[in-house]
Amino acid sequence: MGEIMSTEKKNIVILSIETSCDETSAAIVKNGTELISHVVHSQIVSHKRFGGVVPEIASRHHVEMITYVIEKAIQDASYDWSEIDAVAVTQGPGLVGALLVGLHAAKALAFAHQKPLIPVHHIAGHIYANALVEPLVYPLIALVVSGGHTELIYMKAPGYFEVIGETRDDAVGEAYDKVARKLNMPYPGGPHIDHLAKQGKATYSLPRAWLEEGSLDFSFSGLKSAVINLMHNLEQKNEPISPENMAASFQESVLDVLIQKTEQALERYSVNHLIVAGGVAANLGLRAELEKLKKRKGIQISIPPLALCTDNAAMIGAAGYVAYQNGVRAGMDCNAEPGLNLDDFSS
Amino acid sequence: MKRLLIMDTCTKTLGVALTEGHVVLAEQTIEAVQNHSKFLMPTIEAVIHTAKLTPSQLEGIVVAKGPGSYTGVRIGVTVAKTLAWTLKLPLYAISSLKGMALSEQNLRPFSGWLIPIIDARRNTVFTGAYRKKADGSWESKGDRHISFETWLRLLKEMNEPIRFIGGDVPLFQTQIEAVFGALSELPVFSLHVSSYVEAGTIDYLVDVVHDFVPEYLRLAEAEQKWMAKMKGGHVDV
Repeated sequence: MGEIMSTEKKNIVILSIETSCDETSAAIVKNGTELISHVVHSQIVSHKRFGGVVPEIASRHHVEMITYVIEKAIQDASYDWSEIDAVAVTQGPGLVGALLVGLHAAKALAFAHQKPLIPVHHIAGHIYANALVEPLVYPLIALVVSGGHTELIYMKAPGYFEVIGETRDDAVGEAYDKVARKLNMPYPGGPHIDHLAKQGKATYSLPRAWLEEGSLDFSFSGLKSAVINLMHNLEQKNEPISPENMAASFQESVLDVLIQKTEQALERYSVNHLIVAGGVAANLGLRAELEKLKKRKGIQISIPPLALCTDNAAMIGAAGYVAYQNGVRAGMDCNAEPGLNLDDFSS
Repeated sequence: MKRLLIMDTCTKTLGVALTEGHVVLAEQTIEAVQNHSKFLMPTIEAVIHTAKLTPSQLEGIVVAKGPGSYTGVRIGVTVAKTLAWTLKLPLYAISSLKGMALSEQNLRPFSGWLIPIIDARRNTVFTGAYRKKADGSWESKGDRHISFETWLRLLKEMNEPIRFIGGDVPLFQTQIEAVFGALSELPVFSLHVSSYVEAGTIDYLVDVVHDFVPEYLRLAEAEQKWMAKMKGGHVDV
């Protein structure tokens, strides 16, 4: 070769904002892969007293924190506006009142500094959180599991999303929280169930919702009801309930379905690269089962570090970079879309 | 005098104005806005462009801080505080109810009490009482969230000339007439945020822009219930 190619490319720096639920977050991300600064303000302490996220309270807290959080992200990065190329923000899905706060801060900033505004799908963000750790290899399957989402997504190229399976009722994290509440665990219940399950055995018989033959969709509300009914029956008969075994039985039922459907998706699309994202990716039981799947199938599995699994703006900056490169832009009339469809977001 | 960007998204009426001293450079009022999210920023953009200015040429931001629709108020407050912070401008906040009184006084001056009404559901209102005194200064009786029935009783007891104002007045016409007798006519109310220009003074200055939040005048429902539970008291929301 010998010839020196000009590979010098302008860095793309994105300020990203995420307020879809109960975290107020902002980040500075370079080229979609390098996290320069990251600020996450969690409201969980405030919502705990209600046993779950209260949308109106979440929206109020976002207004209190939004400019503090953005300012800190910019200051931590030691960047000024001349070095920032675009503003990316979560457009949806999420709580509409919460989304609107981040979106309007983003619009005001894009307008004030005359920068492009990049609307980002929250789930695209969860998937691209991985790009901050290692390059994504296409095609890939993404399993997104959180308090609000349970989805299998096929990506044949950057910015291309095809939802091939999704929950028809409760998200997996939602089922965890509801079962945890029944077991008198504090909110959020997922980590508590995971912890309890490790100490117990799956001795209770609980259903697995496979749905119709070949479907990659999920359903967790039946399982949640089965746990509640079973506990109710045992209580009526004055039989002792082992919380550890109940948690283990519930977790086994959830993981059986998640793992089997994920395995089917990998086979059907002949994909060897699995990305797991969302808050439930922190679940140790799930991680152990994924490890077995990896050995059994000889595939590559990427799970972002915990701080990038829960809701955060860094992932929005990573996904926003791909959208930016694909020419995605929003106008000042951009609205929050609480039910934004991932397929429609493909660029 | 300063070049101010003024905005109000507290009710279904969207108002945006750009003023310089007492000169209105541009103003847009859109009635019956279902969605401030889609209209506020394009309207701000249009108003600034109409005046052939850029955001960096602004010298202050005035915003109606509430009360009103929670979502509407938050949209205006978020945009205003973000613009003020990032452009390093002074931020001025005015009660949406006082804004209504200023709008009315500009168009149809009244020597009695102006009673702005914003429907707050369940026969309650966000309201207050504002009167422009002979010396040009304003006196007020404090913004509140109150049952409309109670409010009518208080106003009746006050026994002074009053005028109800606001787009929501027709919703309460029957109740008003039951207490005060038939209203001669219901004048069409129109919001003109350029009349908020007096808010661009030190009296309305927001000390710490970061800490600026809407004036909701009411706790979120979950919080009311939670507080009642903490007190071991009766839940009534």
